[in-house]
Amino acid sequence: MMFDCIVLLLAACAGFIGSLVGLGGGALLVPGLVIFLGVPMTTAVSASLLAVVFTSSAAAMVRGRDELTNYRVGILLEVVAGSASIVGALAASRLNANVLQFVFGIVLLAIAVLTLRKMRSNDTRSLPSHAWATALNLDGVEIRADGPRVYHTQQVPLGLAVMSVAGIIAGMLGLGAGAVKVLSMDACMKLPLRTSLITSNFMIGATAAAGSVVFLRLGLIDPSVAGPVAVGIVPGAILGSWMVLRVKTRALRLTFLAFVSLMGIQMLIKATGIAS
Amino acid sequence: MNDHLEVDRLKSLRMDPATGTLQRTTMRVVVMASVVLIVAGQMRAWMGTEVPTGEQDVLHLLASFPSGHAMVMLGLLVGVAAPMIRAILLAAWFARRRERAMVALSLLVVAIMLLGLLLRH
Repeated sequence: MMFDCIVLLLAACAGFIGSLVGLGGGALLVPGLVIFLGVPMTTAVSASLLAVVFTSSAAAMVRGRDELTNYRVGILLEVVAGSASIVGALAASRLNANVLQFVFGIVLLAIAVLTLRKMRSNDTRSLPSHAWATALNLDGVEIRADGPRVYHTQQVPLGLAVMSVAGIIAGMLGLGAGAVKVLSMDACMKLPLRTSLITSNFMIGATAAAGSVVFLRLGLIDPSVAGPVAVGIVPGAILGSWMVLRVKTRALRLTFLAFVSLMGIQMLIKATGIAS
Repeated sequence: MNDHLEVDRLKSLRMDPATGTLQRTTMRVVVMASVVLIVAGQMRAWMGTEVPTGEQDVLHLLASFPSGHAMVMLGLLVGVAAPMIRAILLAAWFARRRERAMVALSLLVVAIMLLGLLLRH
């Protein structure tokens, strides 16, 4: 019972801090479960992937119809991300725990760098749409303070390619991979940043669900870990989403990124056995 | 003038309020049902002093329903179904708008989410 309560608290904290700084809870949850609670890597990854599903659904039940979400782009990209997530989950089920921890450490450090990276300017956003974007109605309009602004969806194949990386990361490591998804939509497809962020949140649940089904089918879910994680992460994530509009997150974000980097290094040390 | 027409056309592509409300309500029902099952299962596992099971085959575990861990697993399954239901709702919305390509893509996403079920244990 004590273990369950600690897992629940860890999940609530991960969900709260993760949604407050916009990185999702998995980046804290998996290292927390593995390093501090000694949970096996595959169990931690599968529980975290389920937590991502719950976080995304919780956001949908709060927000519902969102004028910023580009559902057409989300569905198109999800075809690739979902498939890649299955590949990632299969890889996670077969890879050695040390290899998974090593990859996790590297990805955590990469995500920290990616999040720190300044978002690119709007200079190329007025270019014409990609042919697929025209055919599938992927363009949209963003309502801004200075009026509505049309955006054209560009470089769709490149966006799909980057999304496949996001899918593999999600399935293999139990992360939402929101940072990579936003990179795909914002930097590659030239969608507005806010649209990319909200559409990414719609997608992460579907990507994680595809990977979760693999873990469920292979019997790699431990209900005594995944249950408390799923229950804890929902209120944490909702509270974090509410707080994000009310607090200045820059300092917190930097602290979190430093913490995530430390976790990444810790995972690398654990994987390579340098400390022992 | 053309810009206004383009803005109006793109605004008309957005989700209508009725579909949005349906989506939000469905998500609430599914997530709440899932959380209730997990919490109830967890309580039952604590009170019945069930031993942690470790990684488990889903069907094998569900066969022990209404044990605590079986209830937790059922709750997790309901939670995983939420994004699938959302994609089905989107497919229905696209179908009403007669966007066949998007209907096909939405249903393909649902199929991909279920693809893992075909794997051999």
